[in-house]
Amino acid sequence: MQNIRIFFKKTGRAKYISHLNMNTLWARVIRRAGVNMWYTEGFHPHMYMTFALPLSLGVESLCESVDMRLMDNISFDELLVKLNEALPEGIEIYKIAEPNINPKFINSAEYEVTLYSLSDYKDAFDSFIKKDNIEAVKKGKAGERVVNLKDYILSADSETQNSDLILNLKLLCGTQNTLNPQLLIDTFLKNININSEGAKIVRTAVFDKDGNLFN
Amino acid sequence: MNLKRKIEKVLLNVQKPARYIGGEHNSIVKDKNKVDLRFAFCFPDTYEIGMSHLGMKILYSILNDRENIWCERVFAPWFDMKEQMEKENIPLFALESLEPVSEFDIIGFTLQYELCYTNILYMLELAGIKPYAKDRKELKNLVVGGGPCVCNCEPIADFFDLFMLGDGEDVILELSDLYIKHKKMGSSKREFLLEAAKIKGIYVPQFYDVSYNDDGTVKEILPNVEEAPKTITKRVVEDFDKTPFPDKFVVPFIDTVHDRAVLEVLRGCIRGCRFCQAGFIYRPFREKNIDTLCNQAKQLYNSTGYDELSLCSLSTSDYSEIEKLLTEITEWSNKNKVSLSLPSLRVDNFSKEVLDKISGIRKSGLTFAPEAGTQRLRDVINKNVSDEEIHNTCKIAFEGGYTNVKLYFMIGLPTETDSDIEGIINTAQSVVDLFYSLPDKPKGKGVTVTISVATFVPKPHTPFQWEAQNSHETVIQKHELLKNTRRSKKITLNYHASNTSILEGALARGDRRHSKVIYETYKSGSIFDSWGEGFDFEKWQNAFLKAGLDIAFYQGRKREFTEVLPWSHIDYGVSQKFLEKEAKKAYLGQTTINCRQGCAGCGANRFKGGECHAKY
Repeated sequence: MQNIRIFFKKTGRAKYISHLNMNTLWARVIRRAGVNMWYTEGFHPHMYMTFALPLSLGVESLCESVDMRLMDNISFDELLVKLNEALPEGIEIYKIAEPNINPKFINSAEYEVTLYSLSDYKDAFDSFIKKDNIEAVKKGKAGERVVNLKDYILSADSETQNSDLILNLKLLCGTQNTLNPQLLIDTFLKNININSEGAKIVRTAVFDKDGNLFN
Repeated sequence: MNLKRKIEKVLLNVQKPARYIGGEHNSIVKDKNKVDLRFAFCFPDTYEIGMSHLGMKILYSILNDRENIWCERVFAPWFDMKEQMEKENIPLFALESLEPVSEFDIIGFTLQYELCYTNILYMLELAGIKPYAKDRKELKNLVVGGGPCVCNCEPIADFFDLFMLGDGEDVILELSDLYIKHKKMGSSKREFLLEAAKIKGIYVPQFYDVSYNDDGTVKEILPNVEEAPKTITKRVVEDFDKTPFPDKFVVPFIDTVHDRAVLEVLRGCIRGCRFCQAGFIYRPFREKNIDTLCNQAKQLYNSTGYDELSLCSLSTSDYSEIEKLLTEITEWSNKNKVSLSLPSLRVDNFSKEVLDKISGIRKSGLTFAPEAGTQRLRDVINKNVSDEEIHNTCKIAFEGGYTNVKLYFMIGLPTETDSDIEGIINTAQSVVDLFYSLPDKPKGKGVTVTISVATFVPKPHTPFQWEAQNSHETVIQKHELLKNTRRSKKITLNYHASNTSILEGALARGDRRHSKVIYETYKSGSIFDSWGEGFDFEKWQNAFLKAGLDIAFYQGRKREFTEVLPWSHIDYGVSQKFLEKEAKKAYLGQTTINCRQGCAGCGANRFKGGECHAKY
């Protein structure tokens, strides 16, 4: 038995698969691939797996990971090929390794956001993000509360690309404090009073508290 | 903004967006420029319901196995998505290409239950397609239907260009090939339909004229073109064991109602319960070989990764070699941590061996359907199950560690009296008493007997097709009687006092004049009638009234055997003579032997390839 960490991308249509449904999906992928993973030994045995970080519905990612326990004697390269063949459109493994950083030390994440047809609003965003206080209602397990989003933003840059506005965000993300980039975008759009064509959000990197890349 | 981006924009505003985006494992994407025919397979209910349907998986696979055909899936968007689509001008789209349904050649609906009829109109209009067949002049967007409700499709006949009767596996390809031929020739819709009407099992409603008597009953149903046969006979696949079965299922991302691998063990039923439409319209009885089933199970496991396998049919325990099948399947499934479910077991042939096989994996409740509370009434409906058999089965189950038993019953059956209704409670009580009388009962646990009571709906092509259905008031009185008869707290009583079965009763035996009613009801805002969120009986009542039709005329009226029934031109193999004979035997309380004990002469064994596998 060997602990493994599977790094994968979740893009395109796959972004609409909820975090809850990812467990079922991966268990089926493993079975389709004909690979043996370790099962829990309780009353209802199930395939053991833990995801480093949840990913919001509708957000794409280039840096997701799930830990499992491999029972077969098979190389990581071979495993990667087998699993990729069994994965649905939009989910692709790019690396399998032994786990190094414990996921509980994850502290921040980077996102690339594309706001379609909003290139004219670059200045508006830049002055919005400079404000000392960006109030928004955060919904959590404990209910709704008003927070200052600035407390969660490590950095935020903007640029334009054709008619789109691109944002590069580094936000707190982890077991302690997390900001969903969608909330920041919604707050900005409300601020400029725009009904947008929608946004594409991609998580591009995850870091631990010391700034090490979780990869 | 292109359609795909429009769809993406609204998806985060709705519940379960994965219902609307496709991309599931094993879903099939082709190049639309390289196919001759695009087929939109529409299920007029939610994704979760439609994705659980085996027929759709079979036909999806058969159509897509043909290189020149691309079949895609379409489901009815739930209320929240409907609102978003209307706001953003998003037409109904198919899940594989995310392209509008209006671009498809054939739009096929599977008709599983009557209460989905308004959803057909809802989906057509959302797709920008005219609901009435007469208003659609082009060959493109041909609207076709299949599935059990086709056995009386008269209420929706005005909306469809054609229907396919019976097993769909062969006829759907014959239809597709004919369509491709006529599409290439540039034929008109009428030219195509005249040829289609010649294919066995295809019913083109516009080629038939229906006339009525003064009392509102049907006078005559006659073809108005030479090409249309006087009677349309359903299709039966030539060799059920070899008929194509999907080696892959589309694996949904979200939980669906039946999210598992499914094998079709047998088709048809040997039993002949007189209320059961499926028991008659799927005849003759046919089985698959054990090897075929085991291979199909392994293929599905490998291609889907499902850890649950269901052995599906109208009555799986009637499979002639059920114990051998279970032995072979469980040997493989236990090794692969696959759990097995047998959804339809009968009380009378449920052995300890069968129980051991399924309970080795997961222990959930057991479900049986005695259907009626007294032996007399069970004889009337030909549900040949005795109290003794019910007790024997429950005894085996209790001794095997089960403590929950669910019993299904119906009220409103022909000849029913108060003592039959009290008999439902008495049957449940005797099961409770049995539990406590057993020395080997599970220790430290109580027993729960749940009775679910449904309302009987007389259906076409059954011996009870001439019967009157109980009125809503009578049904409520019977519910009261049930409630007042129950004494033990170990008995849980489930029923619902909704008008849905009244509507189902009216639509099931409706005629062509119902199209107006359905259209009117839909126009007044009714969709998803099989859901509490959608059903509004008042809208239906108003629509019936407006059309000058009486619900009770269709639902609560006893027909004479001589009456021309609205479906009398539609032949499902079982003869009207046989149904009439069965109805008369029911009144005398006489039972009929099942197909394995001997042939009762229903007539369904005349189909080519439809040899009855029932051995006697």
